[in-house]
Amino acid sequence: MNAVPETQPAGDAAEIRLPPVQARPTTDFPFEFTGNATEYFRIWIVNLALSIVTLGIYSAWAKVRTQRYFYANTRVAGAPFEYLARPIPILKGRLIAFVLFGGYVLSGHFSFKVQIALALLIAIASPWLIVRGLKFRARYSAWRSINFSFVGDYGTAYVNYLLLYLIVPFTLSIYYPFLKGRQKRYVVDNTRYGTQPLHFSALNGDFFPPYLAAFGMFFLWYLGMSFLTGVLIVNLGHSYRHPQPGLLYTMVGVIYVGVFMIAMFLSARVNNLVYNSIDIGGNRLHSTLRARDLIGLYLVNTVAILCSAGMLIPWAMIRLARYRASRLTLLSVGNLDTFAAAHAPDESAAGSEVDSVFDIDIGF
Amino acid sequence: MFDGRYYDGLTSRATPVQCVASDGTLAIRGEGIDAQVALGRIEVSPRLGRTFRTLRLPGGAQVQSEDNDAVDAAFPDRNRVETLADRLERYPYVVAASVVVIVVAAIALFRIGLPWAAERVAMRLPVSVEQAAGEQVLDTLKRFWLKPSKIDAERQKALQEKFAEFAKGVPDGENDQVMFFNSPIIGANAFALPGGTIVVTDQLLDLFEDDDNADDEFLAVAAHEAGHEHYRHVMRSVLQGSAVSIVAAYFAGDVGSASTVVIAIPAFLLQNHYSRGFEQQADEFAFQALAAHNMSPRVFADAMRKLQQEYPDDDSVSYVSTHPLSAERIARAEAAADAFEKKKP
Repeated sequence: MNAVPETQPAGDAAEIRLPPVQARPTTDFPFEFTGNATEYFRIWIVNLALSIVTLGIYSAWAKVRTQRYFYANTRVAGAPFEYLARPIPILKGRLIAFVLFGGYVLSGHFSFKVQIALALLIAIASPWLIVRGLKFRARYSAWRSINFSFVGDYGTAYVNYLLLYLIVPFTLSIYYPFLKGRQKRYVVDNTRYGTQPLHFSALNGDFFPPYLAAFGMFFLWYLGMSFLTGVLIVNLGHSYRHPQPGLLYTMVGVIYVGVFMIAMFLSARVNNLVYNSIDIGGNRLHSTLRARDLIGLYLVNTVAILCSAGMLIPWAMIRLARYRASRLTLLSVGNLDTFAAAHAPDESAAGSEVDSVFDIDIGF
Repeated sequence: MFDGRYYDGLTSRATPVQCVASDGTLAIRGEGIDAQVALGRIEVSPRLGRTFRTLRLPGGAQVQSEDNDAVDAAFPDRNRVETLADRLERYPYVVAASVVVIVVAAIALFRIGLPWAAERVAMRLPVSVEQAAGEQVLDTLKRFWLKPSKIDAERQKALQEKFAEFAKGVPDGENDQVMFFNSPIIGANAFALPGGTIVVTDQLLDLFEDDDNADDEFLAVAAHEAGHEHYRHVMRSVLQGSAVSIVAAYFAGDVGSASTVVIAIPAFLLQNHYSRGFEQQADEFAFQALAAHNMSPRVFADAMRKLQQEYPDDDSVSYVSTHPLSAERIARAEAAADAFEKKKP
């Protein structure tokens, strides 16, 4: 199944001018997202209503329909992606996740020790959950009839997602970006498209500059805003008997908006770095997400969702998917027809469901 | 007849094909492909909007087609659940009905379901569990907000005994005890912790001090807090709050990282709504407890008025605004007092 370039007539000329690394001529295939908000709104609202009427049981079918919709409407090189998971395994996974999450939230109000114990248990199980989630998601994603798969081992996952976190504090967190790089490498290098392993070309150190920049911005922003708050309290609050809580809430809000913007900057930079470092049998991805676009998207989405009492959630999701697709390109070396299928055993959904519900928890 | 992309199940190469269904078989024809497959042996992915369908053939090959109507015609009666969902998604009145279902269900859940469930759980909780939770909260409060009381020990003891005497006739009162703390940050305030501990700040006592019915006003406020204890309001708020965050987290999963604000605002509004109902319930409890001790609920109105003077409504950290609608509450206390005094011979 060796690659035979199928396009690129100007190949010879390019070979002369470019350095050897770039010698293989590539064709650009931009990703596109073809979903539309009206159509997805109908799917979303029926999903929600049926989930309520069936007391949550239908939510597994709803999840499959949602995922299938977003996968099938994401296309590259003329072919859509496909989500293959079935509702019943997802339903089982959701039940386990629901019991665990409910127990975790409730236990906190009765006994601090029980909650700490549960949190520790979840922390110890988290690398295992991460691997299960990666296996599930990869196994049930396909493009051009070929499944992805994740073959990472648990031992390395425990090193990357648990043990190495323990040394981060001793390095004054300087190691943190390097660890992030290690984790991304573990995920990409252990993912396969059919029989073709993906390869991650970034160095762990490449993750350092974005995190350093984000930390610097956060530090300056926080310092500046704290100083401003102090000045405002002294100048405005002095004449009142009690401190002005309105002012404090406003300043906390302003600081939060800044932190959100910095988080978007980091997210755009890291996402681009990861995508741009993926090699699939010589094919590359090119991602050009921009922080200012993400900030605008999320701000408009948040306002729209709040003002519409949630009814514009589908519209917000479609906008985000469309933007993300519009900033991603596949640089093909012309072997897209030659990937071979691999045997893929079924995966359980418990890990991915538990994992996603606790992701939400961290999101708080 | 419909067009599709054929994949042989071995490689990612797509071949354009034409499919014709007749006499229980599907004929698939394209460049280098000429296959006849029994329709019954083909697995079809469910219809979903305008997205493509996958026909899985025995042996691992597949055909993908965007021609939904033709695929449905060739494979009737497949995927019953999803076919129903697809029909529902396409009828405008079903979409409208879904909105109604969601609104009604949300109202029923948040106004009836959660409060009912939280009450059931809270009322059945062993006292020891509540006390453990209360101690934990008190420890945290002591670390940041509450300093040792500056009221002299004898006065504290006298008030505690007075309350103990008062609490004897009050439902669940035997579990309640009052503790005093100095807290310039919180100001004049009183609150009920789970398990029966009622915290009263020095600042609240100071507010009543220059008055000849200071002890009665203290008892009125303490009776209100005893009401919170009796109805397990703290535990119920916490349980309801947790349930709101679980439900909210479920939906926020769809929205991505903008979700914090999207969750926080509705959750806050719901919490505020719950607490108003609880305040009124605790007020009624206090009126009854006072009347049972042959004291007029008017002392409660007096206490509230003092708090209102101390903290005008625009100050949002005060006792009055965390216990909202103080004017309305004073009016209700006055009405209860009038009724009490009329009944008295």
